[in-house]
Amino acid sequence: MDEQKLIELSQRGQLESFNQLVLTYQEIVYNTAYRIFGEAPPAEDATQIAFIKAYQNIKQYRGGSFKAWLLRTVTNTCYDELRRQKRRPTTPLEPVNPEGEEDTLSPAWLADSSPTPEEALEKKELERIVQNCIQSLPDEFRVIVILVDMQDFNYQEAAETIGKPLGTVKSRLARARLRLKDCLDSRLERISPGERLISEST
Amino acid sequence: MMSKPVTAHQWEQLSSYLDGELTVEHKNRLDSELKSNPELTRALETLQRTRSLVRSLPQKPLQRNFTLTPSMVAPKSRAPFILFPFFSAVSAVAAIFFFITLFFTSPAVSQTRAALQSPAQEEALSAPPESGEQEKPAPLIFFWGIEGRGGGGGQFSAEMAKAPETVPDIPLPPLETTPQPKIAATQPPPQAPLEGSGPILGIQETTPLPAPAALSAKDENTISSETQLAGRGSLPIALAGAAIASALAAYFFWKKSRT
Repeated sequence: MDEQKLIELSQRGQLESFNQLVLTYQEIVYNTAYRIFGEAPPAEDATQIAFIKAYQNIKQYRGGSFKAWLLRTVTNTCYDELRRQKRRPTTPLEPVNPEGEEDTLSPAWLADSSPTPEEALEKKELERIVQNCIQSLPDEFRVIVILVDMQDFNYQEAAETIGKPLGTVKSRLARARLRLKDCLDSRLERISPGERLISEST
Repeated sequence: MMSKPVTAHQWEQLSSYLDGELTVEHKNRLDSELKSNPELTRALETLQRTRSLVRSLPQKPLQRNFTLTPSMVAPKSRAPFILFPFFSAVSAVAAIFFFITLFFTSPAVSQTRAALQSPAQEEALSAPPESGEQEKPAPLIFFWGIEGRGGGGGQFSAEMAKAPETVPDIPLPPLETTPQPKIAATQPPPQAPLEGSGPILGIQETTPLPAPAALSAKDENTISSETQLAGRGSLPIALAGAAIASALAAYFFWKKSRT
């Protein structure tokens, strides 16, 4: 059954049809939430809440990209949760250094980690650095990077998703990438002196 | 030749260039700039590397499905949303009435009102002080019988238990001076026997307390107003209780509506 038919049936209250849409989009929705939060539990909660909200408001869907409409719901849900977290900050279980990074050099932390092959460790370390740099971005910049660079949205889809003009998407994305470049430069230099993103930033 | 630093506008152009979002005209212009400006070329390469690092992040596998069940999408009860404003309003009204009744039942206000409303008391306030003092009853006096042994802690003797058979007629104090009760210390010790059913501590059986039925109209008025005051005193307590209980209920439904 095609997507448009499933949407129409969902708008008539057929939960089974909506669940077909859930199965189609749950991976992209979850990964978007995961990259916004940087950890699984809140991403799972946000994904579930986003699908519930989407079903309850599906009658408000008036055509266009369903994926963009769905991701708009999940990004708004994530924004709500992030605002709630800022009001009630929590302390992470992992050791954290004064700069807010996980202190993986802490003996206590190393004691609990299982041995990993060097390449896999490097890859994992690089992934952690990139994710930390994404996390360090302001919320509205982070969402644009996730949508465009990770979910392969074009600018028009991203603009629909965040509900902002195309020009805003362009400028936010450029500023977000610039911040990411500076963040990656400094952190890569720290773990591997001499390794930089090709050139000095101006 | 020193190369110019990359401007914010150029960073934005480079970012859009990487995503293929530039118009043909802008793309051609930037292409020519890139050929002549090595700093701009390095900036593009840096941005490209940043973008590829972000894109290299793997997709996270799902730990479970997020399909919905009927219970997940069942309409929630609207009770918390309706009951919260209801209990809030009740609490506010009860609190307002509490403060109003607290004001009107306060002793200062009640006494002022009673004084203004009672004609007898008005007369008493306006009458000369002599007439008021004349109406005062003589103070009740206890006779211990023995001079200098009336205080507590002394040794008890048979003489101390003796009391006069009749209350001596004590003259009223002069009108001009403040009445001071005088202890009849100079009275002769009574000669009543120790045994028998005599008066205890000098109180005569022939001077009974006035029965409730025999209370004067003035006394009844006083008691009645005191009873009313006591009754009115419980009203603020009830209102305060209602205000607190409603506030707690409103808080409960407010919390419930947010979950």
